[in-house]
Amino acid sequence: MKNNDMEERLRRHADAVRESMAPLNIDPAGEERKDVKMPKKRIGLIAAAAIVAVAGITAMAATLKWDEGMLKFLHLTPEQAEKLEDSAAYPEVSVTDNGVTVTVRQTLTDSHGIYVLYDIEAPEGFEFTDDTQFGGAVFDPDCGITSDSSSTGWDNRTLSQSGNKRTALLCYNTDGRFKSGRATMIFKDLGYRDTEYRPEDDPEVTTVDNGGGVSIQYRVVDSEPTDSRDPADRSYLKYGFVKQIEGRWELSWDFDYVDAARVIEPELKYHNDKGNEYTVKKIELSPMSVWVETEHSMEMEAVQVEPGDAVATYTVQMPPQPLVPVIKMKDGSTVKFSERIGFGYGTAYLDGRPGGLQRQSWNFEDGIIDLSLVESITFGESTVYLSEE
Amino acid sequence: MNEEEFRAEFAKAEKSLYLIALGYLHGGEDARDAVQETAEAAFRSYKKLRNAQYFKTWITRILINKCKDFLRSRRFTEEFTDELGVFDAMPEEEIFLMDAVCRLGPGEARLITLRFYGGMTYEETAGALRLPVSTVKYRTRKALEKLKEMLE
Repeated sequence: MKNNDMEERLRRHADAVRESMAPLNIDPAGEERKDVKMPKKRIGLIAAAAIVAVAGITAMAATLKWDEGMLKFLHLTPEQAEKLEDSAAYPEVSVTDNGVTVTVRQTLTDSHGIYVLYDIEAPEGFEFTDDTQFGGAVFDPDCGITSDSSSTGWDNRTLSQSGNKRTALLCYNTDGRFKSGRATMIFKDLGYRDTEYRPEDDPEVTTVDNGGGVSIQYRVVDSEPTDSRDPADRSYLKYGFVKQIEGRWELSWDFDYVDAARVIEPELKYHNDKGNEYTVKKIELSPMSVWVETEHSMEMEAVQVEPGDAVATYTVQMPPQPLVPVIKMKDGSTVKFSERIGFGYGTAYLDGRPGGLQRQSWNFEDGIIDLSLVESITFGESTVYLSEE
Repeated sequence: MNEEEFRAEFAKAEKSLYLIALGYLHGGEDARDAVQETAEAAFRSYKKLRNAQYFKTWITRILINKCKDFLRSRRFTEEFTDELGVFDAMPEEEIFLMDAVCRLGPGEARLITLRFYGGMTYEETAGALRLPVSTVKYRTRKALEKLKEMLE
């Protein structure tokens, strides 16, 4: 048997194995998603409180210029929103192309994140649905993000839509640090995604170099080729984009914000249950979020590759999961983090340093917190107490 | 990537991930635990993955490290075991071949597992293992030769 025959035998074998395998039914959410039952007798009280809160939001939003949907999404009371006015801006920049107008109405910024509230108004007769989206989107906050290895993440959320109008919120965060500056947002084509599987021998399946290695993609005419192979059935997933309205909408505006974050550099050490040691280098606590930079050592393993090659050294262990900080208030309560808008954590590997650097960013479930009422932040067995300012 | 896309991509990759984990750990129960922990770790951080195109390499990398954590803390068995009965319906000759793959040296078994069970290209395999592509190609060729000898 030749090597090629062996390869072919293994391919057939892998297909047969996958086909005969029983499903594993693994839930990625694991233990994190458990339904919590609320005692029935409390529902009436909470519903009444919610009605009062919504009425308050409606009244205050008018004077604050805030969108009601944004207040609800961020779980902000009007009083809390008022306290964030230094972090808010109202660009009111607008652009129209092919009958579609995009208007940026408000931004809200802290050290590591920005929310951009914008409206889209399409021509009469166009109907926004949950599937409607732009074919391309770019957000570039050209405002001096400072970090030795910053990365970013962002998301678009529809807050409300009816007929030919939609209000949406762009949530953007960065491991780096925002400065005031100029932001640019570009959208391309309005439409919806259409997916289908194509067979492996489809003539339009092609091999392309995507810059990070060669991969096989299904090239879609007039669309970005962002397809991925489905290893289970050896077909290819096609992400086609159906344009309903062609266009390009570019908006730029200056924004300015007052950074209200308290910065602490505690050099705090803590351990997880596997014995990994971490050092908290920096905590930036702002009314909207907490951002934590932690250093930890990484296990490195020298691997001797084939004779004649150089010794290659590579990391063999991902950093362990970071411990979620516990923020304790002076009244004894602890702050809950939001799963809706929390940006989670990321890991940066720094060149020249034999270690890992983790940056976590969390938003608060109940809108904002009053920094003067924070007593301490705890990581595992170690606590840093905040001094009065 | 949003949650819906993450779940769809994970569902597509689930079996391949299990097979890769099996290539590392050989025990079906350990492999399932490793995939479960990988899924949970990935679920906590998928929003950081900006380009869905790299999902497979990204999640495989997490899985590999989980498997290495497992190998540090659990007894390694050379023999392939299917405690969960996942392969009950699999033809005997395929089980025999899978067992042969597991009996390759650890480095060789991982290359074969990633390339064939994981459906990865040489470049993707090199990325997941952080090895030069030329090394991956050379070692894969050697592993295929060894496997061929074992089967003949």
